[in-house]
Amino acid sequence: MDQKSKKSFPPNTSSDKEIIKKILSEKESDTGVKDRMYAILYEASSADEVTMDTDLIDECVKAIDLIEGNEEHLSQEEIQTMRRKVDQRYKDWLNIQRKSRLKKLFVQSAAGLILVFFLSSAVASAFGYNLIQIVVGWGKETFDLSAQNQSNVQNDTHNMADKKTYGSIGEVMKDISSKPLLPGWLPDGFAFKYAEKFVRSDNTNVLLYYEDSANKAIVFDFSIYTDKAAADMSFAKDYSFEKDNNIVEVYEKNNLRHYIFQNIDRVQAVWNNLNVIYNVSGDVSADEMKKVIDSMNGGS
Amino acid sequence: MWGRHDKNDEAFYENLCNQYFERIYNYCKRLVRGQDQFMDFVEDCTQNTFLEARKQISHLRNHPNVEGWLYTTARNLINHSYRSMYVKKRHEVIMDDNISGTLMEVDHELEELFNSAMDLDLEKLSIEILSKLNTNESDLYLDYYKCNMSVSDLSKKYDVSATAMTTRIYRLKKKIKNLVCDYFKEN
Repeated sequence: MDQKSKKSFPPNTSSDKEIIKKILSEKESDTGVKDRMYAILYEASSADEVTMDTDLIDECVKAIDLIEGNEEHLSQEEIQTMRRKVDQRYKDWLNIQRKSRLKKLFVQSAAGLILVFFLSSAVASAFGYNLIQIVVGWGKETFDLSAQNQSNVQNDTHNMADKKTYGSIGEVMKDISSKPLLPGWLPDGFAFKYAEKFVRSDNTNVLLYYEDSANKAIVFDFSIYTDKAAADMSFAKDYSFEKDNNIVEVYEKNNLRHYIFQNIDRVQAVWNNLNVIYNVSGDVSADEMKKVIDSMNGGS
Repeated sequence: MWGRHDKNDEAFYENLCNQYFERIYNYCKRLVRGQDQFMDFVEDCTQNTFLEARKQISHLRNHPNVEGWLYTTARNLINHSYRSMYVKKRHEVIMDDNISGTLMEVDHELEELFNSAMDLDLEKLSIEILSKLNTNESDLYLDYYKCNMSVSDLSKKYDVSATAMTTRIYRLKKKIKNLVCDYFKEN
């Protein structure tokens, strides 16, 4: 609010008189001035936010108010009322933001961002208690599976792989004591192509490759831990699988949890049964993957 | 650290409101040419401008021209309100020549009244009128009329553009004319 002047002007009142006379003699149409002020106001308003001459805008606004005899100020009460409304709307906006964040977090949690849980599987061994513990967790872009036995983890420095390729499933499984479950059903057109085996000191990795005429593939990847390794050795294995933003589906069959997720166009299923970690991926749908899983568990 | 950051943001926002709330309201009012039917727009757009400012307060603290941001946001909100209401913006006030001529006539009459007063009365009148100016207006009156400072010197002194200074001088003249007019109305 403007303050009234406390200044006393120089006693040259005749000069002030002349000045006021001069001011009064300057004839200007208020309408013309107002139009000019509006023109300047609009031009100044069209500037970008960084270079905008806000002083000029204020001057134009005040000049137009003066011409229109409309100089009343907003009262403090009016300003406070409007500000309270802004505060309320800001709180509402914050609530919406919070809810939105919670919703997002919930979806991510459902996708397993922070969900880590333990799945213990009993190892079919003479000892009769769980030897392998699986820790599963997943984020937006990866699915992580960590397998270790329940004793303290130690470094294994003798874990070199020995790779061989086989033309039949019988051949590749020949020397394996704990045979993994094999698929009893595959989508139409898929046929066995070849197999690979990687022998390590504590586990054997078997891969079965299936293809159809359109070069679509399904790969069965079995990490088979020997009974001895599971019982006597301390091991820890971390598996990380690429996935997209879709939620990981937990598919239960025969009291086993199968984790089905997608990476680009490929559907992948990961689970553990006894001392085998299964990883099946292929150019199939999630429903087809479930049928494959069913067939491995005795279904058709 | 986070708490202090929030506190600083709050203080900055509070300062923005204290400095600019009324100015932005007046600006919005002028953008709708003070038309009564758009006063709801004016209130809404003022509030929305400050709501946006509050949402973006951290960003605004580092903005090179926060006033410019506020005015631009207000302008955009007013334009958006216009568009959404399908109201054609009318920038020009149509005033016929008769009304315009009458205003000129009143101005002319004022000069005659002032000139016809006795010299002694004029001196008193001048003192009385000038005493009604506020501090800023008095300063400008002294600088411009008594010290004969140029517009460019004044714009440097008051740190505003030359166009803004010219407009401010116009306002001073208009204020003095209005005070003279009020005096003769009362007496």
